[in-house]
Amino acid sequence: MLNSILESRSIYIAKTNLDGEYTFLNDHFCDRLGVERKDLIGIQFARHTLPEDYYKCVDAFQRCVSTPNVPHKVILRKPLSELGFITCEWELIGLAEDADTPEEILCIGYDITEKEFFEKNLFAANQRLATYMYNSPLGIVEYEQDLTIKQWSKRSEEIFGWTQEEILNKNFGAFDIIYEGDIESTSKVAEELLTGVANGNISQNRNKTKDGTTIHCVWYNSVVKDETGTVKSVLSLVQDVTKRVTDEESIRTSEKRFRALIENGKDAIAIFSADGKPSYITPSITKVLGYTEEEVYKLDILGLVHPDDVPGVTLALQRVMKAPGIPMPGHTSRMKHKDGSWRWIEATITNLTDDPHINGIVDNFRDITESVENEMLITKTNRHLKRAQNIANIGYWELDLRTNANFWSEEMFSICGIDEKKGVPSIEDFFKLIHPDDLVYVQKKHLHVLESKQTIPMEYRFLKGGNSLVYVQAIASCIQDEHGKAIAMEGTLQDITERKNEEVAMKKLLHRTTDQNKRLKDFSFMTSHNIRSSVANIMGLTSILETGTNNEECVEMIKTTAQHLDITVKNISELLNFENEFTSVHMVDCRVKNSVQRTLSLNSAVISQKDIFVELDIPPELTVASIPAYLDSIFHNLITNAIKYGVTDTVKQVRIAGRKEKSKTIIEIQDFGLGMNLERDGDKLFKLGSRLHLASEGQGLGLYMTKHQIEAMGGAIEVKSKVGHGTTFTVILNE
Amino acid sequence: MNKIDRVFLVDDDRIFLSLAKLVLQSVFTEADIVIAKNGLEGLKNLEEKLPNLLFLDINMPVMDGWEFLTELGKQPGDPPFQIIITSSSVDPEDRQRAEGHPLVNGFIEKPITKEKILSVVS
Repeated sequence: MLNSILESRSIYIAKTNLDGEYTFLNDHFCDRLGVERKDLIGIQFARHTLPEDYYKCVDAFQRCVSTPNVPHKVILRKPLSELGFITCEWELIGLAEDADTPEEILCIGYDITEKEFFEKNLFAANQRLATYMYNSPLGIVEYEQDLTIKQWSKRSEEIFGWTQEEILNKNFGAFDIIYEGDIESTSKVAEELLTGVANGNISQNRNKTKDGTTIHCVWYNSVVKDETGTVKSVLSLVQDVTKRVTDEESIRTSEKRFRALIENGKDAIAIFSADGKPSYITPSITKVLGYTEEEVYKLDILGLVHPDDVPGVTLALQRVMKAPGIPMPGHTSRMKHKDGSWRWIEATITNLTDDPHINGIVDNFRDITESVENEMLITKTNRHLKRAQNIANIGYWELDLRTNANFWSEEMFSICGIDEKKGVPSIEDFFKLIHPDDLVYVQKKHLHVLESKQTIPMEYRFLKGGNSLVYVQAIASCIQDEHGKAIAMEGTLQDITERKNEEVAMKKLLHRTTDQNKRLKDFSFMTSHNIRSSVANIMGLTSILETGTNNEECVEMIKTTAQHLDITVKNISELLNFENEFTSVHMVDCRVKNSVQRTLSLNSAVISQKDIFVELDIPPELTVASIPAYLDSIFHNLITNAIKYGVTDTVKQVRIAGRKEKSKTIIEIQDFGLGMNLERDGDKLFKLGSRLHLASEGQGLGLYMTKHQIEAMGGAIEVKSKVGHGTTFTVILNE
Repeated sequence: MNKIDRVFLVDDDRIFLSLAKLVLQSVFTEADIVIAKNGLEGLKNLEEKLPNLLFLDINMPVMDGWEFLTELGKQPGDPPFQIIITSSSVDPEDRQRAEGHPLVNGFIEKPITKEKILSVVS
């Protein structure tokens, strides 16, 4: 029996003497150590351990000696003959039969090498597991049948917001953790687990966090059962997949949009081989070329290119083939639409034959016929507009109020006399060229344009090229953005100098013609009156003659009437000449004294007869720019009036004086006779047909003509008179 | 027609005055015909005596017919005599102005005749 124990194959047995030297080792022990028994007999048991275990072993031996027959446990490691050691749990017993002192020490060893190895590994595995769990993106949640939460990992805290303190050992239902819309489906999943229908499952649902945010989670659920197979709890690993779900949704949306763009957009995309055979075509091809996808697959796309554009397309393809992966944008050519019309197609071609996913030439193309035609129309319209501006001499300008960028058409430079090479002047420099008297007006008008947003015309003077004054007509308007804010101004400028000069000439002509008409009308009434007066008299006189009474007196009266008629007719002739001369104003320098002397000479007989003293005070060199005939006529009327009406029986003096005063020539004809009541008669003094004197033999033409002749030469006539003191007529003519 | 004792003729045309005087004398055989050569003289005559009838020319020197009427209008009350305009004017404005003037009773276009006088004198 003892031998069978000593030779046990499951335990190690050794004996030592009180010195601790091996006296016995069983075979199993020797085999395990890989040594011969004889090699260890006599070797101290304590020395036959790993050095770290020596004192522990010695201590155990000492206790065996001191307390015999009592087992003392100690774990010791024994070196193997080869590398390594074994770990054994030893029971050391001091064997003593009847004395206090043992005779030998029995050592029984249980090999725990493997057990320790596994325990260490298990510990390490537990450590790792704890670490993984702590750092895992998965949260751990465990809840029991009654939904009491038993586990709530750190990660769970991070995902849902509730801390372990807040949630552990509380009922799941007390927390608003499931998204309302997913409660039903989540309950079913939980029910399956808690009722044991399923040992585990995976579900994805929406959850709520403590702050109310909705998140997406995947729950990896497992049931935990006791030894009887009853479900005790559900252990779940939770993964927050919100970002992934959002990203996936975003990708799906993006894909949808992209597909919509590709398939429904105006652009079409075709992938074809170098020989023109299409391998992929978007449905939008129908919008571009009219063919269905199926039809296009049977077509030679290059065959649809306009013959004139084939060389260009071929060249473009050659270039693309030489530069794989590099897009060649903006190639334009005409292609035949299914309806037979030629369409302008803009293509971006990329050689992706090297890309295994594409393996072809990608042609992204669209119909730009409308824009090409519009462009051609715009080009044509611009050409016409430019030509029209050139012909009409109208310039166009535009000022961007946000950037101060200024655009001028060619005509603007021409109108303003600015070299186009110098560029568009700033608005400040432009305003410097406006006539100073018009500058404020122009600035106000432009301000008004900005405030009222109206299109406003204006006319002002402008120093063309800085020196030549021109009249311009401008129109300015305001460009607004969608909010009604003024963002730019634009306008036109037209040189209207010629038209303006013509207008001034026209106004002068109209004024002159109106004056003339008025004079002719007054004159016709006056002469008609005079003629009719004479005719009436003749009619009356002839009726008296018929009665045969007072014949001599009647004949005398008829003679007088005839003379009146003659004078009237002469006046008609004189006035007609006056009007003729009036239209051809040609001024020359005339010596005033010479003209006065001619009048005096013509009236010398009367002057001499009436014994009138004429005082002449005119410098010989005094000249005036005038029409000679007018000047003579003026002096004739004024001097003869002075002789006729300014001379009395006692006062027989006439004074004629001339002088220069600044740029004017002043000539005064003064008499010292009866004078006039200007307060009463001043208004009719120069009126056609007016006669102020009873003794007047005239018909009221002289002063009327005089005034108009003076005014026709740009001058003026003034009169001063006082009853009983004489009259002074002052003629003022410009130099 | 009331009895006409005195007729004033205001006109600057010497020949017209002679002819008119003859015609007026043939119409108003007992009337005294008083002559004035312009409006101013006419006003002076009125200061002395008043006529039953006054024949007034428009175009006259010193004071024309319109000025005469303006001055006469400044006096209080309507003149107690008829005023007949006599003129050779062909200006329609003159005739319109005469017809619309409150002091004017008639318009005779020269030459003056017996028939014309009788047609305008009430």
